[in-house]
Amino acid sequence: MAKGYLAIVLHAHLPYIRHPEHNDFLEEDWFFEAVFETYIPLLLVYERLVEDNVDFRITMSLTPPLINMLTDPLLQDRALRHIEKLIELSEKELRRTELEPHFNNVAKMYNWKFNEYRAYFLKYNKNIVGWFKKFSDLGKLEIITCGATHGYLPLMRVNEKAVRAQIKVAVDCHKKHLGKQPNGIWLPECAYYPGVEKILKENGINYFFVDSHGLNYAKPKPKYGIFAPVFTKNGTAVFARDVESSKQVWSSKEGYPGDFYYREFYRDAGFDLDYEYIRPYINADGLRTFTGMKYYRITGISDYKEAYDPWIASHKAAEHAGNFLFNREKQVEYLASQMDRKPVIMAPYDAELYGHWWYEGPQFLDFFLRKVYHDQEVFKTITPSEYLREYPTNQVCSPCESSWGSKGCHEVWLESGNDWIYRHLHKAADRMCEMAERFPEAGGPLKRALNQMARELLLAQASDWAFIMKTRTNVGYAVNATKDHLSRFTKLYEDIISNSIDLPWLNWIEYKDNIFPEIDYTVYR
Amino acid sequence: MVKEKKRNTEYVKENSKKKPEKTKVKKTVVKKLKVKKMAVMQKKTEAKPAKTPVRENAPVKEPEVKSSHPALIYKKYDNKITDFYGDTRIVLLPRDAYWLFAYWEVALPRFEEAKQELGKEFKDSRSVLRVYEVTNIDFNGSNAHNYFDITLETRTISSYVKVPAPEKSWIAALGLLAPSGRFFILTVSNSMSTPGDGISDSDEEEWLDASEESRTRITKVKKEKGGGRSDGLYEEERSFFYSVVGSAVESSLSGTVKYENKPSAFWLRVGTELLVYGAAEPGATVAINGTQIALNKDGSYSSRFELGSGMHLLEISGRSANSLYKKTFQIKVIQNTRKVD
Repeated sequence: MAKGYLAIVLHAHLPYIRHPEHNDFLEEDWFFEAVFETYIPLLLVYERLVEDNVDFRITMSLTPPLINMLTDPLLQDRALRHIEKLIELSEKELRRTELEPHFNNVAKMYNWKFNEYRAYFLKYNKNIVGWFKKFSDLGKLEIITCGATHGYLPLMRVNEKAVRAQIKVAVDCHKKHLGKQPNGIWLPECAYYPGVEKILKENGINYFFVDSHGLNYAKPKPKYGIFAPVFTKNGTAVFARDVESSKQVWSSKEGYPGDFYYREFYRDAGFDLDYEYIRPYINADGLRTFTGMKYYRITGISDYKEAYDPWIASHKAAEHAGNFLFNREKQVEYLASQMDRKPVIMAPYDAELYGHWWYEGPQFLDFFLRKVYHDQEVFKTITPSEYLREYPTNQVCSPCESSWGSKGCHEVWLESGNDWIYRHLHKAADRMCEMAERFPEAGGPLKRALNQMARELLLAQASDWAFIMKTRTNVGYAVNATKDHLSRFTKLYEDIISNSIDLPWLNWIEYKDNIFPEIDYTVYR
Repeated sequence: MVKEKKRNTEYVKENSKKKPEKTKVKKTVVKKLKVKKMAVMQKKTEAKPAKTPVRENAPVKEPEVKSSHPALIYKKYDNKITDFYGDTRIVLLPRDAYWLFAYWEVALPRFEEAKQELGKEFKDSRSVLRVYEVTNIDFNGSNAHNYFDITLETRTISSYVKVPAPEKSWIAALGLLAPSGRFFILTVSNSMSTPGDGISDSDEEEWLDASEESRTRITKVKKEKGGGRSDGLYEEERSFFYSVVGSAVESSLSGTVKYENKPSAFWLRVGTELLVYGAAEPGATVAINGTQIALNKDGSYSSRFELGSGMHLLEISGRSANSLYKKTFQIKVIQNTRKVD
């Protein structure tokens, strides 16, 4: 009989980046890398666990921008092109490394994996949302939603309708692609403000997450701390992030991914190999980029790197999974001794840390979930929905406004590098509501223009832009994205006001910014 | 994750711009890695960026698009935003328990009204942000618990406002403060509450049963004091949390996964403000960066500024009552906060 539960939550999100006007666009690579380094490897882990009858539970948020990209035919074709080029490169690499068995071994691994990824990608008709859905239907995976474009809700709250649209559009998107109402939500950036639960409730969402201090600082002080959910006054459940389990995976001292036998991220064939040789596989403009073929292991703190050995790395992943299991057992045992119910440990991570950054991450999860099932009886994995079914009675508390950003509040998304955007985002939201009020039942081109306004507003609201501006890296792309979406929004607004909708241009931006084809601007009423 | 990706791409970009200065590369790497993993990161910082790929002379150009492509035709409509909308409006946003952010804009007609109202006092009045504490109050303009003023430099359109206590509600009014003390309000903000900053000492317990059958049943229990069990839970938890907050000094921790540099039960936060003070002959006028500030009766003055990181230049100029004498001081302040270990 298990004494407690562990809920692993993977937050899968990418900003909506799609540039049909360019054949090869650097930032689109983020998406392809995520698909072939994280999502498909994770799905393969689930696939094999199911094949081997290993019972497991994982919760994943698939954000609406990600779902829209995964289901977009243009990006699907480009993703296929991406993996096919990688296969081609890996074949050349097999020949190039023929006389170096250490490297050849690694090249073989890539060649094998890339072919496998391609096969599965095609098996699901290039739409892996269906693959995720399969595990959701099997009850292994709980898929939850997020803000429509990952908008930062606490800083949007001066216009409640804008917040409502972020939630409503997200829920509709989820229903459309996954066929059911999401029971929970991963608030963008884990950012909570008092009052958002009302909007969640209206949209049928029954639970969300906060960072640890969101519950630690709740009023009154929760009896079980962060190891059981609480209810807000309207009955929406709140789970809080456990710090210890995060720390174990990512901290410098106890963190696993820095192990010397794991694959080194920064040594990539795209930078290491002869320019002419690698030219067809890097950015079309000739910029060297990461290809995904990496041959070295972390080795040590110096620049000296040795060849990566997949076999040893895999044993390391097993060892770390064992260590993680042991620590969770001890944690659950301790917590269970302190509580009069089964504790639940919430361990949320960015999905893309598994596979993309920590190459062995999916393997680690695979080993871990197998060990949880076969090797111990102290705890089980669970989804938040299942926990709430087992414990429908919870303490009523008001969580503290918070986020999982630096310093725990809104500073990452509101500081001198990005605070200028809010003036414009708020104005645009107000204008959107004004238009929705004014044209309650538009049709024809006016309706199209209004719907497109809603898309541009949502795209401008993505918290990713503010975050990039804050980090002071790649600022240009984020500033342009914000300004472009806002300019398009304003032009639509002015065109509508002056009764002169620019149809050819509207055709173009409908094609370009095509997120949420089904959107209905009256969501802003 | 997105963020890591961005960093990663950025890394590529940086590196592909000729060969970057070594120290700079190190710095970017550190910044970008954040989430990746500390262990790796520490290694990176010590490592020479020898693996920094040197790019052969590939031409760097904008991705090519045919000239008839709609992307080019319609580029003229992109990237255009106005600074102002012709509104008179102030908006208050929360940053954290102690800081608010206000942005505003005032349309010209509103200034005209102010001119009419204030008459000849108008030209001597200064822009002031008056911040009212209105916790649990239906604010009517005069019933605030208290308020404080921030003198604004000319042409500012936004400001961070430090508030003295967490968990309060605030309203900000942008207005013109005449020498006579008369305050003409240009525009009033929304009310905004700041979050709490500590573990609640309330022991009241309320429970809700959300199962299908008894959706609304609420049980209230008064918890007996000092429930040892849950305190045990907390002790543990508290130290976890503090260790995370302890990393706050590191100025840009990613929004993805928080982890700490050095886990420890001790936590420390650092913030800075700048206090400029002095005195002049009574009757003189003193301005800081062009904004006149009010002198106390004895001629002393003081003004408080937010001191973010970076360089700040302040110019304090004073003029005697009869305008015959003038003195100007410049202060250069460099704020550079960094965590040493």
